Amino acid sequence: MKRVLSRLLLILLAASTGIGLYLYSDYYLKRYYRENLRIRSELQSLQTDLYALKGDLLRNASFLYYSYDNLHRFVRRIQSRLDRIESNPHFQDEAHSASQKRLESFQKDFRDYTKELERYLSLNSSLKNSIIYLPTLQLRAFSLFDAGTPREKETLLLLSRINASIFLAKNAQDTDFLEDLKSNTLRLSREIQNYEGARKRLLSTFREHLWQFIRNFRPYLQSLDRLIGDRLLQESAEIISVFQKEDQAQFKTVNRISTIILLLYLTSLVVVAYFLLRIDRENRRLRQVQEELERTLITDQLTGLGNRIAYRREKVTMSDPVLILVNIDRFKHINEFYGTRVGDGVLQGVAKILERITPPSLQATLYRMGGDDFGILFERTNCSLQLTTLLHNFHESLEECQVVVEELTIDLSFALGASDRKNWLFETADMALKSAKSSPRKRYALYTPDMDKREEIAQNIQAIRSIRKAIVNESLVPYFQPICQLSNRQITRYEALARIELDEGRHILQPYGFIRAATEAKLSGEITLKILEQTLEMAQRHPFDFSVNITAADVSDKEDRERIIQLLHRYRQLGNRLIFEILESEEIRDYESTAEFIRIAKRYGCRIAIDDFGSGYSNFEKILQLDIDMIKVDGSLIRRIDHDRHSELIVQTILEFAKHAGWETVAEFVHSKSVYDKVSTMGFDYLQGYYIGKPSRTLQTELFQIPRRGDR
Amino acid sequence: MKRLLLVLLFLCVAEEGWADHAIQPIPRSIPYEKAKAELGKRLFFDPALSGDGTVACVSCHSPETGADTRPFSLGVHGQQGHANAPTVFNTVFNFRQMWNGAVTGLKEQVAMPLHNPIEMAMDRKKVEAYLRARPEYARQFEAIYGHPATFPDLSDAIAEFEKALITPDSRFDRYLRGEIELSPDEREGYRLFKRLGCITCHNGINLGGNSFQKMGLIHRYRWREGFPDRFSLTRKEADKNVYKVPTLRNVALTAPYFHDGSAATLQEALRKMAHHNLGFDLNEKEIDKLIAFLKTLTGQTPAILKAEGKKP
Repeated sequence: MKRVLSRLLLILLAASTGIGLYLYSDYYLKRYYRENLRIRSELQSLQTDLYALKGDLLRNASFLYYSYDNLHRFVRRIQSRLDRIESNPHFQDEAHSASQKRLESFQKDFRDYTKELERYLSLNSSLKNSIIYLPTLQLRAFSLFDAGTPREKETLLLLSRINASIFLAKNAQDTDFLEDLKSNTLRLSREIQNYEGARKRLLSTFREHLWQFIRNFRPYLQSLDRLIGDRLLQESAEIISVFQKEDQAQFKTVNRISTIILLLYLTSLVVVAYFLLRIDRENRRLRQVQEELERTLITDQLTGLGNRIAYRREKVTMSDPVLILVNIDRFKHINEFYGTRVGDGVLQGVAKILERITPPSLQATLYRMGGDDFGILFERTNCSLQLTTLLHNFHESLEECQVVVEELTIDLSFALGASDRKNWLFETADMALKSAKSSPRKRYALYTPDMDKREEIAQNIQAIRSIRKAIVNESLVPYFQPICQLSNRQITRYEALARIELDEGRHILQPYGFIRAATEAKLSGEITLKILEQTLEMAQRHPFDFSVNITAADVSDKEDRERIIQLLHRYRQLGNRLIFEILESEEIRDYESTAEFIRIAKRYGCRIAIDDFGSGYSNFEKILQLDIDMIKVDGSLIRRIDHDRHSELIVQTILEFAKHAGWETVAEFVHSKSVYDKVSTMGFDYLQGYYIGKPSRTLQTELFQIPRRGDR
Repeated sequence: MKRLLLVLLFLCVAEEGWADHAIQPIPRSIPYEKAKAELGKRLFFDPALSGDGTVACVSCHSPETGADTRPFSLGVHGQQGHANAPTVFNTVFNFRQMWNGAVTGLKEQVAMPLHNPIEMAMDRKKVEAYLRARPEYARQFEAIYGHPATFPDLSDAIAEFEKALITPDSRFDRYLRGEIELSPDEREGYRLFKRLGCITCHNGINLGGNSFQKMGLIHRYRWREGFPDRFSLTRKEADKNVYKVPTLRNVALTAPYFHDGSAATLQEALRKMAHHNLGFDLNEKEIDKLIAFLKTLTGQTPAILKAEGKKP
């Protein structure tokens, strides 16, 4: 933030410097040219005024009378021009020092010129006054003097000659005629002596005016000469030329400065541009980072596919989406067996496989939805096949693939679930997947409404509540199913089956209604304990063998195992009549703890049976390692043994195997006479089933009490 | 461009110069700043601007004629001056001010009588203190000049007022403009005015006021130390009795005449001028005709004085 601010400040600084420089240079240059032009035009006008003044002076000289006003006006105009030029800051600049000096001397000369002008005007008026008045006097003389008398005629002629000379002198502006006039003045002075009174006075006045003329004519001409001379004009012309010369020098400087300013201005522009580009680049980088982050947010780092977030974003934009979920079977085992590094490699490999086998026409997007679940999302309209066909194809392609990780070739199997329900796309696809997974043969499924386990989940929750309640209320009770010993056809043994009695025994909840939920809820240990305790109490009162179901989970939980062992200890005198049935269909993950429990149980004289043997899950090798006493052959094999040759073969093989292993054998699910007849001859040690007897609260002691066909 | 300017300038000059080559009419109005002139008018009539509070500008420059009817003007404490006050009308057209042309502009002229100990006898500080103490003045000066009153402001205001003191539309001006005809006597008088050479000095707008000339060119005029002539400035012998030619505008109203007020009537003034500067005596007929002409030079009272009463 601070960096951005400082950069912004820098840009502003550069920009304002640029603008400032531009404005300054603009102002400076404009001012320079404006003031320069002003001075030049003043200087030119000065010359014009000087010419005009001269012209007016000449007019004044040639006329007898003429207004002096214009002369003064020109003088004033010139003076104010001089003042303006002198006070102009541009002119006061050092660069114009020569012009300044010249203007100064011009000013001084002009002051002298003005004084000369005043003198000239005084002379002019006096002179012209006399020039005008002398003819007037001559006219008066005509009436005063008698032209008849020779003397007076001579006087009149003299006056005429004088006036003629003055006329010539004045108009020729020639001083040569002054000599004539002077001699005539002397003659006039002599003439005056001859007259008296008015005539003498007239002649005296005449002579006085003549003297005025003679006295003033030469200074008048000299003054006029000085005034109309070219001196001031030359001086002003020189000022102009000097000023221009200086100006050229100054112009060069100004030019240089403006070039520098222009360069600085350009530099500032470049700086601004540079920063703008940098900011732009930074922005782009930031945008990239942001996009990267966003991608990371919606991308699975391991496989590079989109994650759940990406899926959700994409899904809402689609009109008719289909989601196929692909799950790797027993991926957990791969992780545990090879380590997560290989596991990760597998996931990456699967992602690649999926990318390879997904038909491009689907325009599908692949996601890793989490764990080992992959998603394939596409528009239904892009798929021309039936969805089940598509699923089938997918599955086939997948099954053919192998993943090679760190030189290990790993075979994988997959389950696929698909859905096209837009509203609950993932949830329903997941249900389809679960459905596929829960079935050993079906490896893919398209969602159908009956897969909806939501009801079941609700039931499970209800069941768990019931179990808890039952445990508290002591309504969890063992029902005992009789087991017949073939050797003597006597009931010698009972299997305790857990039941929940509801409404004081009027409703009985079967174990598969709740056992799964119980296992999930970690309640199965509790159930086993309750049943075991009640069965031991029963065994205390009745001299039969009793078998109790126990799960691998029960014994792998240390606390549950301890409590079972405590019970065994409490009823240790009954140990040799107790049989633990370990459910074979269940995955026995923890063989170690199971084996350990078996060892302890055997110490109390207990025997061990494997329940549902042959149900398909049997791991013979592992089971052989356990120290067991008997096996109970799975009901699914017995049920149809009376007419299923295949089942019979399997059962015969199991019996053969058990005989060699030294195990007792029990046939379950003996539900009819024909099954009874069949299994009775096959070499089983014990028989169990509805044909022998149903489970009940009390001990059934007679055989075939309720012989009928039906379920268990 | 330059050539065009020159042509234009010559045209202007030609137009100004050629209407009548010796005498021009007074323009009907000239531009001036009204607010300043009104303030100047107020000051012009204010006797508080003199040392003893008795003399205002108007004391010697009457609003009717611009001149003084007394031969010698009187200053503070009744002191008599050395000259008859020249008219204050049309002074804007003079090339110099005062009898001897001691100053060029009206502004400079204002200071002269104010500072003169026998005229108004005020100094700069007293004037400024007075102007700032009077609320009305203080307000007006502040409004016009943007700062408290100074002496140059006072001169400026009075000068602006004096600019407005022009007397246009005299019979002669109207004759020059071709609006009216002069009577035979008046015309004859003008011709005499020219033929006798009066016009050689009395020319221009003001019929005078544009050159220095000697009084007593032919017959010497009496001279006395203290006369307001050029000599008082230059101390040159030749400048004795040399004065700025007085204007003949409104001359019929501005008696007495000459710097010393020695001529009480126009007849007397004409006779004296004829004697001293022409060396000859005019006859009655000539004098009557000249007077008839001179009377045509009486113009209108300046508009600024007509506006509201004679005194504020």
